[in-house]
Amino acid sequence: MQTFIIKRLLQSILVLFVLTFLVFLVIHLLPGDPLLLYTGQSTAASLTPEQLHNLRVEYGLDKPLLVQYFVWIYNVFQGDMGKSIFYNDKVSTLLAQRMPVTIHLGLTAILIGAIVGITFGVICALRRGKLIDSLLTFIANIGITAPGFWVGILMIYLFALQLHWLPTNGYTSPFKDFGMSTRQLVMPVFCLALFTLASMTRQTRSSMLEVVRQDYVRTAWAKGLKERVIVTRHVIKNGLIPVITMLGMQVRTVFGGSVLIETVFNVPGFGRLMVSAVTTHDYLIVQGGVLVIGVIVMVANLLVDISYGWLDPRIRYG
Amino acid sequence: MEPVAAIEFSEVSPKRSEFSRIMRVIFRRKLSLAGIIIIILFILTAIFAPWLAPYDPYLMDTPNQLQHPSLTHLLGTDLLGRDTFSRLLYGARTSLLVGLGAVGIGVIVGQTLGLIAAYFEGVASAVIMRFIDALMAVPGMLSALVLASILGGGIKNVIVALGVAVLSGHCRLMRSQALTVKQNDYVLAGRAMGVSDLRMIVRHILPNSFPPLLVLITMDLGVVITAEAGLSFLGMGIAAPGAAWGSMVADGYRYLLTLPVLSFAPGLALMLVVFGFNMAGDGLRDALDPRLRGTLGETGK
Repeated sequence: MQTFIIKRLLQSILVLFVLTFLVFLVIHLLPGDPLLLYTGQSTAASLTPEQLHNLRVEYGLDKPLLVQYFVWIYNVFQGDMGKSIFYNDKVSTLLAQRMPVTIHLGLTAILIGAIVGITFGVICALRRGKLIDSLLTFIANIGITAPGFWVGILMIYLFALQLHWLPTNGYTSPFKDFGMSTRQLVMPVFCLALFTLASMTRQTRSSMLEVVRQDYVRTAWAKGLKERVIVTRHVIKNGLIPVITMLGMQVRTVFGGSVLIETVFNVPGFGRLMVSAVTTHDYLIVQGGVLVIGVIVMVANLLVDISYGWLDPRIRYG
Repeated sequence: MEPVAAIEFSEVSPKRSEFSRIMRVIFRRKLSLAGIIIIILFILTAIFAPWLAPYDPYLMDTPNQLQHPSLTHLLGTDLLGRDTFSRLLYGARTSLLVGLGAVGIGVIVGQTLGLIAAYFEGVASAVIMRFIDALMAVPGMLSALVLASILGGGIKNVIVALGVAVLSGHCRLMRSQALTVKQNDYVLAGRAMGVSDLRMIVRHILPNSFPPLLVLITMDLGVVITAEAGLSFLGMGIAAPGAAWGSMVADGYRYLLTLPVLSFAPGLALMLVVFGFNMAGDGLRDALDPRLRGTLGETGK
C-alpha cells in the first residue's frame, strides 16, 4: 500500500510539471510581444524602445524559454506567481481570495449532489421498475442534459425576479452573514450540483443493479439475510467502486461548472476570475490558476485511488 | 419417427445480424428511439435551415426590436430586430458544425494516440498517457476557455479548443479497449504470421475495440454542443452577429424581465438536442453491453 501511494504521488508531480510546462509554452508562444504579459498594452505603448528593452531584460524575457519556465517554477515555490495587470494585485493574493469562495460553493454542491444522488440511485436499484424508479431516473436524465448556466437563468427568472424569494446574485461570506450567504447560495449550488446529482444517481443505480445480480447476493438472499443487511454489507460496499470513481471526476466537473455558474450569479470566485483573466488577456493569472486547479484535481484523484486500495484489496496487491 | 428439424445457417453474415440486433434493441426502448428521432430532426434542421427559416438571421430590423412572439415573428425579435426563430434554426447549424468538428478531432487524434499507446506500450505509452493526464487535470470547460482565448474566437478555433478538451477521453477509452483486445489469440496468431504493425492495428485491433467508443462519440456530441453554448455565453465562442445558441442566451439575459423568450428558447433547444444524444447513447450502450444480452427483448418476444 505504501509503495502504491508513493508511486502515485510521484506520478502526480510529474504530471503537474507537464501541465504547467504546456500552459507556459502555449501562453508564451502567443502571437505578439510576451512583454505584454507583464506590462499591459497601454503602458507598453507609452515607453521608448530602450525602456522596453530594459524591461525585457528585467523580466528575463531574453533568456531561452526553458530557463524562463524554471525561473517561474522557482518563483512559485517562493509564493510569487507574478502580478496581474488588470487587478493590479499579486496573482497569489487574487487566487487566495477567490479560491475559498469556489471551494465553498463546489464542496457544498458535491456533497449535496453525492449524498442525494447516491441515495436516489440506491432507491432506484432496489425498487427497479416501480414508479419511483422511473420518476427518479427521469429526473436524473433531465439533470445531465440541462445546461447549468441556462437552468441558472431560469431559476433567477422564477425565484428572484418573479417570486422574489431569493436574491438574484452575489455572494457573502458565511462567516459574515450566514442567513444571506445561504440564501444567495441556494441557486448557484443547485445548478452546480444538478449534474453531479444526476450522474451519481445514474451511476449508482446501474452499479447497484450490477452487484445485485451477482451470485453472492443471491446466496445471501437464499440464506435468509434481511434486505437491509444485504444492502449495507454487500451491495453498497461492492457497488461503491465505480461510484467513487465518478465522485472523483466530479471535482473536475464542478470546477469547470463554476466557470459558468459564477458568471451567471456574479459570484467572486475562481471561475469568474479565470473568465475575466482570459477576456482581458491577463495570462499570468491563467498560468497560476491552472497550476492551482491542477494540484487540486490531482489530490482528489490521488485520494480516489487510495480509497480504491482500501475498498478493493485486489488492487492493492495486483 | 419425426424428422429432426434441419439446422439452418443464417444467410446473413454475423456482422449484419449484429447490427440489426443492435437496431432492434434501440428501437424497442421508447427513450432511445425518441433520442434518435430528435437527432435526425436536429440534423435536418441544421441542413435545411435556409429553407426553413422565415427570415434572414442577420437581417436587422431595429424599428421592430424586442417584439413579443407573434404571428409574424414566432419567437419574437431581439435588440436589433432580428427574428429569434430564424436565429434558432441557424444556431442548429453552428452547433452541428462545432459538434462534428470537435468530436471529429477528438476521435481522430485521441483514438490514434490511444491505439499507439496500447499497441506499442513502453515509452510511447508513458509519454502519451502523462500528456493525457496533464490535459485531464484541468476541467474541460477551463481548458477550452483558455485555448479558445489564446487562439482567438471564431468557429474554427472553438472547434480546435473543444476538440482538445474531448480527445483525452477517447484516448483513454481506446487504450483500455485495445489493451484488452490485444490479449486475444487472433492477435498472437497474426503476429506469428508476420502481420505488419499497421495492418494489425487498423485491420484487427481497431474494429474490435471500437464499439464502446461509439457510445462515447454520441455522448460527447451532446457535451461539446453544450460546451460551445457555454463558451459563446462567456463571449469566447461564436459571438453576435453569428447565430449561436449560447450567445443568444447571453444576449437575452439582459431582457430577462421583459422578454424572457430570448434566453429561454435557445436553452430549450439546447436541452432537447443534448437529451436526444444522451438517450440514444444510453440505448447504444445497453445494446452493446455483452452482459445485458438477451435481457433487452431483442428477439421481439
